[in-house]
Amino acid sequence: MSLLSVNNIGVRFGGVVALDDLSFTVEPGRICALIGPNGAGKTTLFNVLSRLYQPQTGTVRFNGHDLLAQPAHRIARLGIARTFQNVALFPALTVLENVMTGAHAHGRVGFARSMLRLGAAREERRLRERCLDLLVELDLAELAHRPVAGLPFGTMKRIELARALAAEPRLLMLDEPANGLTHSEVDELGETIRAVRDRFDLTILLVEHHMAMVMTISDHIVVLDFGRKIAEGAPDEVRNDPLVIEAYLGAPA
Amino acid sequence: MASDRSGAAVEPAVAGEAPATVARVRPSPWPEVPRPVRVARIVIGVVLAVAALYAPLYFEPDVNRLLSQAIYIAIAAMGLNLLTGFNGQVSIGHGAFFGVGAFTSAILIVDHGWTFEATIPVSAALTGVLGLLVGIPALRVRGLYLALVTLGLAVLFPRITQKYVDGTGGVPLLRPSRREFASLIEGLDDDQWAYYLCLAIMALLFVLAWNLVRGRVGRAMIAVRDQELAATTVGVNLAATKVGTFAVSAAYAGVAGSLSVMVDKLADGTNPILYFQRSIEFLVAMVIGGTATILGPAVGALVLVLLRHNTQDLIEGKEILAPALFGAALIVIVFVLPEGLVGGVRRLLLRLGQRTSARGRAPTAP
Repeated sequence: MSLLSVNNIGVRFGGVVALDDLSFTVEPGRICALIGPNGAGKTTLFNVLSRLYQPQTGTVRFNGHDLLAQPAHRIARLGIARTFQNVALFPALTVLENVMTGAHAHGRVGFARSMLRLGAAREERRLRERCLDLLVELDLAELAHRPVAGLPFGTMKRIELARALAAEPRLLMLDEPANGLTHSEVDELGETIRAVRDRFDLTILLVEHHMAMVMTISDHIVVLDFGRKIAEGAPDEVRNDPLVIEAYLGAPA
Repeated sequence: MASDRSGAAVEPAVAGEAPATVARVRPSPWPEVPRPVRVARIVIGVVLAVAALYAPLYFEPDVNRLLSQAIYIAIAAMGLNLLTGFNGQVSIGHGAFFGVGAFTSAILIVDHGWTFEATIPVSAALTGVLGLLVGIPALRVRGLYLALVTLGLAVLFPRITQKYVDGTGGVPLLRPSRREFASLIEGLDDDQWAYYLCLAIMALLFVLAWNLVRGRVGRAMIAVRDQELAATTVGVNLAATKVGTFAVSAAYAGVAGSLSVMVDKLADGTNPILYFQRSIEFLVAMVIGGTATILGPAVGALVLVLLRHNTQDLIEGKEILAPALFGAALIVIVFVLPEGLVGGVRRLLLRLGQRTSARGRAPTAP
């Protein structure tokens, strides 16, 4: 059974159709890429899955749950974590604290218990250790206690990845992870994504413009154009699809 | 210095080295504080604590009253700091919560014969609930608009006290007698008792605030302040966090209001702009002390009260100029220390720490 199934999703902003009757499924353990020209509706779909946008039509099922019946802050607890296209870290917090905030959904301590420190210290200590291990795995350990403001863009993207992993998700959504990275960083990123998938037993949904990386790491690709799905399949099928070549890749090279 | 180190730390990734070849050093779970900074912190802490405990035994009652005023302003400013500094919701209405706290205590004492100390939790609970009720509609507005809405609260409050307190047969000006606040400890004068009670409550509330902001909820508050969308996607309930912060924040202002009745022997509903002025006082204390710091509100409140008092009769015969002097002093502080007094000291300590850690590293370098 598929982990995520998107059924007939339609999103309109005023007169503009951002997503038009979009359906696809993501199988557990796979890396699925969403590609398409700018404005094709890829990030819109991410925002639907994060419950930041309310679609006018369609349903989404995730791991047996009706996703659209959940409020936005419940999504993390169901097992969906994401990164953002332009990095949305918390600049005033340290790297470690950012990652700890990623695990917010797993915490229990609220206002009263926090203020009176009833059980807060133990929860905090465990979380801190766990997130520190995560930083070590992503080679961010040396930066643990630095505020994220002012760190290089590529580093911030890795911190965002660490923050998403701290939520212990089943589905990880990466919005243009290669955006703004150098060539060697992109190569490394591809390896990291695969390694992370295997290591944490994840399913990955990826929006990306960097074709070389998409073609190497994806198991499945969904191609969007003007909010519509125009093709779907394994990298080789999609690469040779005439519709895709016309709409997205331009003239065959 | 700082940029050097970040460059070095990031380099391996940029160079594309395989992660396995990088030495995986697990840092300490807590930030390491260099020894001189730790020593400086302890020394500053001990000196402040001793000074705070010894002050009322040394000073005359009128000075003690001034210091007690600084303490209750500090408590309200801390409440505002939780809301504005840590959670990013601006309020110019905290004078109203302060007023509710003051009138709750005064009415319970004067009309119902309560002991003053017992009225404090009631004030806290009542203003907490009120903060909850204000916090819910406040979810719909933000920034300057929220400031305006809360300003309305501060302006509205005196009208309500005038109507309500008159209507129930009281007067808008409640003056509990001195007896109500008599010292509960043998050997302490009333003014000293008032001071120590205020100080103890402030210490308690500051510890609670410190616990709050350094844990899960505090991180969520800051996350909501800086990145609402990202906060939501990691599972922070925006509404609950904002409304909860509003309630806690209002309760702090309420407790401060209760204490003001003990210190000033007065709950005043006759002056229509008094509670608006209070709101501004809290804001000023928070900003000059250091927004989003723990000790900031206390330092700011002390500076505010002393500055205002000492500019009062600085120029003989021209007392009318006092507010201008006071204002000028505030402007200077904000210009010289944009992060507030505590923020400035923290920066200084940070620099001290960096210098010593650089010196400590030098001999180990090849």
